[in-house]
Amino acid sequence: MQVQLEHITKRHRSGDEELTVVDDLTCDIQEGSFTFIIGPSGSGKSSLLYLIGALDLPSQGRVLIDGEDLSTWSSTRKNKFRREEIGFIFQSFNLLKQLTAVDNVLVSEMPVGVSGEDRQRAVDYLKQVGLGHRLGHYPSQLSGGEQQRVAIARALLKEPSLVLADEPTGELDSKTGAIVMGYLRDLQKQKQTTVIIVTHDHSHLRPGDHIIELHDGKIVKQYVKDATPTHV
Amino acid sequence: MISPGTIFPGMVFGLAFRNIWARPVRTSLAVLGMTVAIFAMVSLFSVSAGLNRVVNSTLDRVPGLIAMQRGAPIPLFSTIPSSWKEEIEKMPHVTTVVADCWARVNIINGKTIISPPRLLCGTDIARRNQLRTTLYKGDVYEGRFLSEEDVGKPHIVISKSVAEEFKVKVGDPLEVNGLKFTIVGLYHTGSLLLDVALLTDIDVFRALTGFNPGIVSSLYIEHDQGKEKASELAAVIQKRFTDREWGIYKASTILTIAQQVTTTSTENPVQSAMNNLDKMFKGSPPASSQPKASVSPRLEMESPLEVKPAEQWASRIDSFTEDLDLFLFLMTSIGVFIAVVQVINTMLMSVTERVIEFGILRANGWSVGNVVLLVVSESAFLGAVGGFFGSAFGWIAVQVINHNFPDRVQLYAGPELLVYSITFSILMGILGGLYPAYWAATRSPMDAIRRG
Repeated sequence: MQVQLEHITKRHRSGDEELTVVDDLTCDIQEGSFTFIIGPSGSGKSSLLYLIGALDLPSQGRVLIDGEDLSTWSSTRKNKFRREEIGFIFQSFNLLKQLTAVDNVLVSEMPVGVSGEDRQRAVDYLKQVGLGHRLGHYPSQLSGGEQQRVAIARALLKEPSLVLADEPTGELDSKTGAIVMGYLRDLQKQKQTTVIIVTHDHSHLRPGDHIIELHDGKIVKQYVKDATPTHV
Repeated sequence: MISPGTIFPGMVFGLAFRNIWARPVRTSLAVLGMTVAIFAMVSLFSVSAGLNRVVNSTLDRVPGLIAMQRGAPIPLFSTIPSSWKEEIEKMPHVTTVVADCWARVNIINGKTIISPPRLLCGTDIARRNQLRTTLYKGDVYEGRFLSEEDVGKPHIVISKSVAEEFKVKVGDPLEVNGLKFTIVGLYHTGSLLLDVALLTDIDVFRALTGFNPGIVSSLYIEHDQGKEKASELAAVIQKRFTDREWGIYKASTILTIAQQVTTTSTENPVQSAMNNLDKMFKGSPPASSQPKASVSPRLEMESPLEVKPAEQWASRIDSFTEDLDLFLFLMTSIGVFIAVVQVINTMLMSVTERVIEFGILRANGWSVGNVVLLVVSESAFLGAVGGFFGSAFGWIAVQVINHNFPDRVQLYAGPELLVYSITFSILMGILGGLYPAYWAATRSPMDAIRRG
């Protein structure tokens, strides 16, 4: 899935003050690319991610998904887009505590009805991320790494064309973080899924990754990381 | 193993169910509020349902026509000339007419009677024994019913409930309003309305109570017309008395009492009011009263005699129970309102704590409608559980009351009332969940997720 951002601006009102969190930002994210959005806190990384995921609307500019302007979509189309084509992964895992691992994976399917086949696929994806023995466990019974793997399985179940991850390794130790990042890279390689990750942690950047560096809502650097390690 | 193709469409409801029980104390309190409201609803509405049931079951046993003074709600308040009985008896299709006189019993064996009420009935024994209907006569389980040999004698037939209350049996004396009777039979109809009667000979009744010999309270008319044509016959009988000089019954009210107080110059006004109140509550015409003392002028073309099949007399009870239902609804609506506010409060607390959860759901493709459905399902569950327990406890309370006070009340919490109460409770739960659901569904998913 190709993502194009054309002169995107996003403003928030905070009391009497209007804050510009994304400022006239333009870029292309190619289908099947592995993209990192990096930058300091408050630089507009997460806001940009939510704009791409149709969870928010830009104040100005256009977000194009495979050439279609998101702002022209109905809410039904956007819901379908989020349900079927996007896999969201969040820093704090964001699992529903009253649901088991399997049911958390099936959350997006609940409104349309969960088939036995869906349930079997959920089990398979949980096994794929190494949680075959934790199917009936609740989030409170899982470690942070396990919870994030459930969130990844939830994203994988949709077989999405676009994965949006907001600090997916932010609350994990480096070893578990590397495992989680490995799942995302496998997904990109095997299914040509477009993966966009917001992160502070530059240790996950690899040669060939598309890097977008933000500062105060503007792109300060955009490049493809080469084989030779460089300081960003 | 789950077979492919199995659908689980109820997972949203399953999630809703798990959500409400994730906070058991808060949920239990909301359910308790709804339970109390529905319990009160079932208990109170069982009064009017019970009344309807008693009336209907009683009327099933009275196939003939009942004639009373126009406007009188029950025979106790009715006075009509006894000569009309002979006249009706001679009319076509009329087979038997029984004259009855009724008086309220105030004292039995020295005990003041307040509740349940007891009524002394003087009946025409010869005619009553000619009736095809077996009411009272066929309900005697000990001793015998009144017969020709009891005419002119202070013999009495009483109900099982009276016998048990006063611990008397056949052959025992019974003092009613200071008059001495001998019990010759015990009956049991099972109807709260019928079992209030103490039956004796009409002449004895008149002699002992001083009831005007030219007057009877009501006439029971048996005919050969069947149920379908009973109303036609009733109309014919009624019409025959249109030109008669007789007033209609007019009940005492506070207004009429006040009028009487202000117009009675020779009497102490307070004493006069007390006397009138006494008359009103005792309900019994004075033993020596003249008929015109308790009547009012009537319209020229209106018959002073009202003749109807029993079920039509019951329509008066129906309109009374409708009013009673309205009153009870107003009473219970206060409790229900409080319960709904409690549900709103519970659901608002719940959704404000779960903003992140709704953000996750929206990010995973849940629509605003899906989130509303989830929250409303949760509040509907609160209503359903509250409704179930309220109805169950209400039903149990009705059984306990009926068991312990069989002669005083007959409450009825039937399936219709229970289903209605649970449905109403679910609807109130849904109503209570609408605003919290709207609030939850319209939060920005982005802001919600960022809170996490």
